[in-house]
This record gives sequence, C-alpha cells and structure tokens, in this order.
Amino acid sequence: MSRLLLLLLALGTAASLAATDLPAPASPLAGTWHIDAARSTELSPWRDYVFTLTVDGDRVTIARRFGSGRRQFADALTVDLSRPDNVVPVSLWPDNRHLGAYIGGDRTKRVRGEWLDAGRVLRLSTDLVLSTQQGERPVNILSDYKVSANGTRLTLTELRSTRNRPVVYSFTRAPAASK
Amino acid sequence: MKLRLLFLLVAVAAASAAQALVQEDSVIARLEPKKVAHAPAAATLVPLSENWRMDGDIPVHALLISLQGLANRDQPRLYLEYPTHWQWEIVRPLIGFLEKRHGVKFNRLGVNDAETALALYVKHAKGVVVWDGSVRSSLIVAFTVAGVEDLVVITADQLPLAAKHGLPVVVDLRGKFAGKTDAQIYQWAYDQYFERCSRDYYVVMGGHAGAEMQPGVADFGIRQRAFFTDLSSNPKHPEELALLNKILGRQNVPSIVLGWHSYAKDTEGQHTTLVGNYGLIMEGLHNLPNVSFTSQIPLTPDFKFTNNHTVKLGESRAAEKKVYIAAVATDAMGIGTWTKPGRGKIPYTWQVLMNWAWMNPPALQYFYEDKSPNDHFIGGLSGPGYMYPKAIPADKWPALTAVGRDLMKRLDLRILEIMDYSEGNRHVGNTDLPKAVVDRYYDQYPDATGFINGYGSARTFDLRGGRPLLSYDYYLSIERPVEEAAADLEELIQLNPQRPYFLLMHVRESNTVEKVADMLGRLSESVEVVPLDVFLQLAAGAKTYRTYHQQPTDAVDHNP
Repeated sequence: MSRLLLLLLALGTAASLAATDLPAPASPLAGTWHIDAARSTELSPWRDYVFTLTVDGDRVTIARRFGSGRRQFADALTVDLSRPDNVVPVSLWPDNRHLGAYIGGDRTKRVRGEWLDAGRVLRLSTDLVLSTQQGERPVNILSDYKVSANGTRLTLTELRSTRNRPVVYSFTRAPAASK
Repeated sequence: MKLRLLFLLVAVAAASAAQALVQEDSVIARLEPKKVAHAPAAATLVPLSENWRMDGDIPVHALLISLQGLANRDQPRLYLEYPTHWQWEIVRPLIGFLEKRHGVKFNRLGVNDAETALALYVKHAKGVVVWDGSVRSSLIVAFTVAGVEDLVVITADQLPLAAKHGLPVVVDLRGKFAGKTDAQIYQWAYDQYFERCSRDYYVVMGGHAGAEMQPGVADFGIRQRAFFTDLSSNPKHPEELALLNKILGRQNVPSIVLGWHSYAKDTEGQHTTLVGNYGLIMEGLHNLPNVSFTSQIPLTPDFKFTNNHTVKLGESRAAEKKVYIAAVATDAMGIGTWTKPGRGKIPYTWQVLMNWAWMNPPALQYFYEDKSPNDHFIGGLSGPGYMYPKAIPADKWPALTAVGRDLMKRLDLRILEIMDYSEGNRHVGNTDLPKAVVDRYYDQYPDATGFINGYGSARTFDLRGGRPLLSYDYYLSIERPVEEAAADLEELIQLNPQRPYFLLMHVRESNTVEKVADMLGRLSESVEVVPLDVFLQLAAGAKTYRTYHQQPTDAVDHNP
C-alpha cells in the first residue's frame, strides 16, 4: 500500500469523524422506569406506574402512565431547566386518588427544575392548586429523582407541602426495547 | 269561573305531587315471595365442600342448589351450609340465628350428600335436565330450565343417581351447544323458555368465570322461575348486548336483577349502568345463598327494625371548631367485616341492602339484633338496590323512589347513600351528581335527614332545608397500610383548614373496624369520630363546604 493511499484513508477517517457529532454523555436518569411496589409507598388505587424520562439539552420530559386493570391514566411533563417557570396543563391530579382533592385553579402546574450531584439527581419543584370541599389550596411538591450508582434503580422522593410523610417510590430500569 | 279554574288547577297540582310521593307498596307486594306463618320447626341442612370448580364439585353443588330451589318453592325446607371461606360470611352465623330466634331444628346431612337430599325431596321434582360438562354456559341454561320445568340439574355422570330416585330425563342439553357462542346459546334458551319465565326476576349468573362458578343465588332464581344468563353488557360483545337489551326491556319496571356481571366479559360499571337504563333493581351478589329458604320466613313477632339514632328528629346541634370524622362501611354487611374483631369500638355506619326487608328478612333481623350501640344503619345504594342515579331515566325515578322511601321507613333509616360510577370510578372520570339528580333526591326523599355520595372520594356537596348532601373525602383502600392512611387523613386536614371540617370516610369491605380505630389512633391532629347522623346534623348547622354539583366540563369515563 502506497503512502498516498494511507494518507487518503487517514484523511477520510478524520473527515468522517468530524462530520459526525459525538453523542453527549447520556443522562443516567434517561430511560423507562417501572415501579417496584414492594419497595415503594403503597400506590393504590393504582397498581402500576411506569415513566419514561428523556433529556434533550435543557429540556427534560417525563411521560407517566398509571394503571389499574382496564383503567389507565397518562400524562407528560416537559420542563426547560433553563427557565425559572414552566406552565404545564393538568387534566387530572393522579397522585393520590383516595383524597377528596382535585386539580383546581387554572388547571395548570408551574414547574422548575435543576440537575444536582453532577446529573445524578433531578430535582423538580411543582406548584399547583388543589380544589377541596372547602375551596382551593396551593400546594408545593418537591420531587427528587435519584439514580443508583450502577444505574439500574431510581428512587423518586416526593415531599408535598400538605403531607407530613414523604412519598417514596422505587423504580427499576426497564430493559431497552430491541431494535 | 276563574275561581273554579284556579281551584281545579290547585287540586290537580296537589294530586300530582301526592302521586309523585305516594307510598308505593304494590311493587314490593308484586315482588315479595309469600311468607309462611312462621319458620319451620325442622329443616334439612346440607354442608357444601370448598371446591367450586367446573371439573370439581360444581356438578353436585348444582344438583343440590337446583333441588333446594324446587324443595323450597312453597315451604322453606332445605338450607345449604356453604363453606367457611364463602364470600357471604353470614351463611353460618345465620344457622345459629335461625335455630335460636326462629326455633328451627336442622337435620344435618353429610357434606355434599345429594343421595339423602334427593331421597327426602325428590317429590318436588318432575325429572332432570342434563347439562353438558364440556359447555359451561349449558349449566346456566339448565338453571333456567330447572325453574320452568321443575327439574333437578345434573350431569351425565349423575344419571344413575337420578334413575335410582325415579327422575326421568326431561331435557338433555348434551351436544346441543357444541361450537356455539354464548349469544347463540342464550338465544336458543330465550326462544325456548323466556315466555314462561318470570317478568319480575332475571338472574345474571356471572361473577366467577371460566373454571369456577359460584351460583349461590341460583336456588332463589329457580324458585322464582327466573331466566338465567351471563350475557355481557360490554359493547365489545354486540350480539350478547343486543340479546341482553331485549331481555331487560321485557322485564317489568321495576323488577329485580339478581346476581352479578361476569368477571370475564364486562365491568361492574357497564352492567349497573345498563340495568339502571331500564329502571330495574339490582341485587348484586351472585353467591348470595339460601334466599329460597330465608325469603319465606317472616320476622319474629317480637321484633321491630330499630336503628341507633343519636340525633332526635328536629334536634339541632352546634358544631365546634374541630375536625369531625364519620366512618361508613358500604357493601360490608355480609361480605365484609361484621363478624370481625373491633366492631363496637368506635361509631360506625353500615349501609343496609334495603330489599332484604322483604327478600331476606331473617338476615336483616340478624344484623339489627346483633348491632352494638356504636353501629348505625343507613339506606343504599342510591335507592332500593344497587343503582347509578345518572343512568336511570327521570321518568323511571318515581316508581323506584317510592320503593326506596317505603323501605327506609320500614327499616328505620333516615340517611340515604348514593353512588354513581356510570361516568367514572376511583381512578378516572367523575363520580359526581349533576344538580338535576341532586334535585330529584331532595324532592323524592323528603323524609331523609341527609344524603352521602361516592364510593371513592367525590366532590358533590349541598345543603337544603337543614338536610346536607356530603361526599366522601376519603376512601380507605383495603391495601392501604395504617400509617399511610393516617398520613392521608392528616393531609386532608391540612388541605381543609377551616373548622369545623367534616371528613367523611368510606371504609372498603374487608377493612376491619379494628384497622380503622388503629388508624384514627395514630393521628397527630385532634379529631372527633361521631355517628353519621350526628355528623350530618353538625354539618347542617356549619356549612364550611362549598356547594358543588357535577359540571359539564368534568371528565367522563364510561367504564372501559
């Protein structure tokens, strides 16, 4: 093989590398997570809770799906972490359906978020209004999504301003879908 | 002339109002099985085994249940002792009650002893109907045939037993339904037998499906010559639904739908909604046993239905600035926790299945006599039987509410519980009542001192003429651990800062009173647990809740 050919191969390889954006390091929280009921705060009336977290630059999307037999509820939340406030429409407050508390106000929630601990933790602060028999009540929910060191477990801790006891959900990473 | 016209108009209006609220006992008279003068001095008792599999003991159970329906046609003679884990837990305590209060002496046979039972009661049967062991639905058809033709239900394996007792084969369903759908099978039964069946009773022989069947209510259906199916009310099964619509549309209004929807075909919400559309009364327990026996037994002469009323009629009470809690157990009399530890520990409310006043008097007498001073009774569910008010056309209300009023009076009940899952449930949709439906309750139950609504939590609240309508603010799930449930209540107390706060709690079926007492004992907030009549009376005088009715924009979910 001539030196000229080697030079052309090297140039070609360099050019192709330059033409392809190197993928940004993936967030360890990205993926689909399935609840581990045995390690979680009791979930009724739901029996199942799955969410998919995707990261696109500053935008984090969490698509949740709650299920109980034939009954399903799904919602999605996209938060731009660079913004101090994200206004998200809310059709139903699924967090605790045993309570006489329903989405109220203008049926939105205001969410801001940040990465902590070098991207291992996503912290969201959510403000919404719940409607009860006595009227409307502002509520704040602090949600920490923490991934385990080996990346296979995720713990969601939710502190509601109206609840004395934290809600803790443990999730396992769902296997990636085969291509 | 004008004065005469005015007088006439006033008279007509007054007559119409009186008609709307007439005390309607003719419906109950039509539906009610004839009572014997007193309970029998002696009756036969056959214990049944735990196995309810189609390939297990169902053949012998079906034989005995059908024989029971026939033997008890004109007199209560045969009582079946269902196994220890039977859902309707009162079946065994009721034996002792019938012995003690009604003086019945039971002659106990061996477990599943069809041989002796047939020897005793064969004279009440004209022969047998043979069901096809390979086609589950053929057994349900056989129940219809048994009632209409006075036949005992058997399988091919039991033919020698039938022959031994001189019972000829009158109808043989073997091979008749091979390869046919349920819609086709029940259409055949409809064509053959429906005209001879009762227009007052229809049985949905559903509930457990597939490999198991628990036809506890079949004896009563056979006695009443009811038509049996497990047809689906699910739009996914259009042929079955069409036939079911035809059947329900041909029943008297109002009349009784016994049994429960098939767990394999449709949902409770779909079934109850459809029954309500026709203005029928559902008695929803497929494994409710021995009603052919108990329905004929009157109350003992010394007994009168007496509730524990803490509030006297017309009495007013002032609420303090505190949190009041009332606990209500719905559908828990018989299939819940009545016999479990803790009852009597705290004020507790139990929803009464009101039709048992005429359909199952000994059972209701048992509950009323067994109550503790802390047990309070209310009517339900939404009326006489289990019904969804939003699903019932307005013109079908007066006949139903007349029965409801009559039964509340007979049973000394002053509060009515409402539930509507026709547009949602605990998970999705809504469980609320529009103003028009609330209006009807206030108008058509003028003697009710209050109403409660929901099953899961709901948000319909009202107060008219000192009569509150409050919805559940909390649903105590069976799965909920006490520490989380206590945290739930504390959160509700935070979410509702005004005092008094009226926290109405629905306790689901098998949660024990002990669990509820434990949960309440863990609260860091100060609360007072009160009887429901006190709760509503206090709420009548301190309206810290907003009036709310279902809104057109509320989410709707039609029970997929």
